[in-house]
Amino acid sequence: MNPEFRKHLWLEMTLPRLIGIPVLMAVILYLGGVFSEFADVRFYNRLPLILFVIFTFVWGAGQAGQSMTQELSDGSWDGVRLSAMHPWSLAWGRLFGSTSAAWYGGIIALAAFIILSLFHGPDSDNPSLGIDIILTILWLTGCALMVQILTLAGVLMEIRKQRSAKKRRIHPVVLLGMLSLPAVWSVLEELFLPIRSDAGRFIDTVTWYSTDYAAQSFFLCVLAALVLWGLVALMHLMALELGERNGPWAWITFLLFLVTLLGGFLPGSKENGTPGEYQRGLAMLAFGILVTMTYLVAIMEPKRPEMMRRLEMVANYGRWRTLIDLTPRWFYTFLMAVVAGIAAALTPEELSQSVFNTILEELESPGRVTTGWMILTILLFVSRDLLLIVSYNLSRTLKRPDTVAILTFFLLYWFFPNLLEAMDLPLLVPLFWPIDSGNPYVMVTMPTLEVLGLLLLVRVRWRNLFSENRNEENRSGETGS
Amino acid sequence: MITLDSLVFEYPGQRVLDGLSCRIPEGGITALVGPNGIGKTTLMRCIVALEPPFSGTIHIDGIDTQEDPRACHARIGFLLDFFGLYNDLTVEQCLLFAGGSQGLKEPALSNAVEKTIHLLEFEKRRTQRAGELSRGWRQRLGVGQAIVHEPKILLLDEPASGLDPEARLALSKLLRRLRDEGMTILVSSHILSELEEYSTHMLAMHGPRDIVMESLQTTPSSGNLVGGDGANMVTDHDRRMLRLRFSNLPSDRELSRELTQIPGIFDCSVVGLDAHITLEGGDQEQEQLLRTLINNDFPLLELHNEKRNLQHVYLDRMRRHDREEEVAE
Repeated sequence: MNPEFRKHLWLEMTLPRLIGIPVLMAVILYLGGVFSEFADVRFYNRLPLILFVIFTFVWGAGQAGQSMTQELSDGSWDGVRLSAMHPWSLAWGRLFGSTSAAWYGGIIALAAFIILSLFHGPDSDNPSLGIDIILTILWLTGCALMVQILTLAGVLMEIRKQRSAKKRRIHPVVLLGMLSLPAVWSVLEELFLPIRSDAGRFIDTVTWYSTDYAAQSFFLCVLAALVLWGLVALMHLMALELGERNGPWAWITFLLFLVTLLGGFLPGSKENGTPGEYQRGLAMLAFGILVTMTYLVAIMEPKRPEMMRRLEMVANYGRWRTLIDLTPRWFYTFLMAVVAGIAAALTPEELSQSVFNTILEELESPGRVTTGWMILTILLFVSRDLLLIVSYNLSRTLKRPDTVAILTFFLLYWFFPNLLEAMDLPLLVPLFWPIDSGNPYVMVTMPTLEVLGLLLLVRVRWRNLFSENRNEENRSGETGS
Repeated sequence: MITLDSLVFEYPGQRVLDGLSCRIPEGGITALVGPNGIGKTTLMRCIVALEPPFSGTIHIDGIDTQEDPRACHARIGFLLDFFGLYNDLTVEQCLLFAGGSQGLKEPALSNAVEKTIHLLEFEKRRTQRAGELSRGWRQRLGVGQAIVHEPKILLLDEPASGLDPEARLALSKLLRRLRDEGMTILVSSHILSELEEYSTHMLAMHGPRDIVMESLQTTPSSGNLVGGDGANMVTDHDRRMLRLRFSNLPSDRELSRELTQIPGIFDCSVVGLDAHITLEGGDQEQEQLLRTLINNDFPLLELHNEKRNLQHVYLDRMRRHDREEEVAE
């Protein structure tokens, strides 16, 4: 048996839990049954699913996150990092082991759901009841797994950022997972839960790349793909913890997957619009996704000064393979955004009345500046923001540089532009927001000046931080020669 | 067994390892010594691939730690200075996990765990939870987790800190036993008396670039203890500690001064009728010394080869290092 999985089974599946969980479930379901006589019987049928969500989404995700913070606070994580196990074994062993007690409760809840649906449900006349039950279980299980994976990956990222993690009862990443609950539940209600045969689904089909797919199958396939990508991400994070080489290829492939997935939903696709229009739409979409992902990864990735210093030294020594491995993923994402931006700018502007192009027209204020200028302005603002994040991370005084960066973005993109508007100074808004002011040179000049200023700041902070190291490096070079 | 080549490691504002090179020989116990904060723990974490060096390479048993860290982990056991145990697991479960995570499969895993339990005398405590163990037994379990997969190399960072004398003695006994079984052991500590009991070699860190390997054996083997060609390498000299006992010492003889004038004698201290000297050289030089002493009418009663005192060697090395730095300036 996978030693990591077995270790967590020993820690999680204690006798009190093995007995207590089914007893607790039985009591809740019994009380639910008593009260269902006074309430909607549908609520009683959903009660096991609510319990499943509590067990796997709330408790399970919490346990997944806590398994990491506990190890770190107990000082046992370095012992795990010294393991000879394959990162994949470590990833699945921890994921399923740390949440084993939650899944134990979740499986009992699903068993109760099956029994209630088959023998106590108002939808027993539904001819596809069996299929609906299976699809409901698959949907909820996949979503629970996804939330647990994201929590574990989020805490691992936090650990890589700070080499510490506070031991909290509920980790903030778990709360983020909770935010997804309304969406998960609404899809469940609209698409998966068994319904009477005469009642129709809210949506039956999804159009993707001009082909109609059954909504249930489509959502499940997308969920399965995302879960697989989540597992790949976990494996890569574990590989990093084990000190293994980790190239950027998986990340780049994931970004391409994301663009491909969302590109299928573009209105006015191949058949409806001209080829140029479709390419332009796809390039714009890719640009938007990649810019968003650049910010997300730039905030989440570790950016400790010594990591940046290592990168500099690796580049100086010409160790290119290591340089490719160590280069932050946000940098690759930004480069891909630049490529997508160039593609969008170079695609002929064949505007038609399709929905997407109408939005484009709104955004660009046609007749003023071209898409190329707009994209260049956005990229300059992204560069400014990335430099801001880097400069904060090179600060000797800031304890939570990324949180400060998020607050700064709030000020830069919301507070100051609104303040300037209120003060009737719209001419200064291009300082803070890539807005179409009508003059492309003004639009580009503002962020360019900010980028130059921040480059200077980064350089000064870098020198302050590593000047002593450089002196030692030079001294040793002289002694060596 | 462990080869470090041009290692560089930095923290903001401080270069901890600066082109450091050395080779730790197979077998024996090497004491890694140096002042607090010099980088001993960083060096150990680099060796076990917990921290990748900024540049340079580390080879464990011929394997590059950065290219194949997991293969290195399987050959290494490491006890950190602040190690953690799974408090809710029993001693046996802790060892089963540690062995399993290093790639041992059944039935080899169970056999290895049984052997470790026997070696560390955990028979009566095998079902006890780690959280219920005393400090000494926890340390012992930590060592057990590090050696359960029978690694070729064992690294211990400050293993005796916080242990009572009895537990220290047990640890010392255990390390000697592992050494006798052929394990290569590197122990870091700044308490020299603790290392004195079992070390065969000393690896002294004086600064980011200066690392020196010394043998603590009575009769050191010459030449092959350290290697590499870095500018900062100091090769091991044939140097031995000798105790000379004289039948009587006339008060008019300034023994210490006279002895240090004999070629080859590096250091001398006289206590009562005994003189402790450090002789640079091998058997020939020792024979020459004896001849000189007799020809010069020293009332020599006895000559005894001693294991070199770690503290003496370390302080001697530090003094020489300081002198070299002064000359360089």
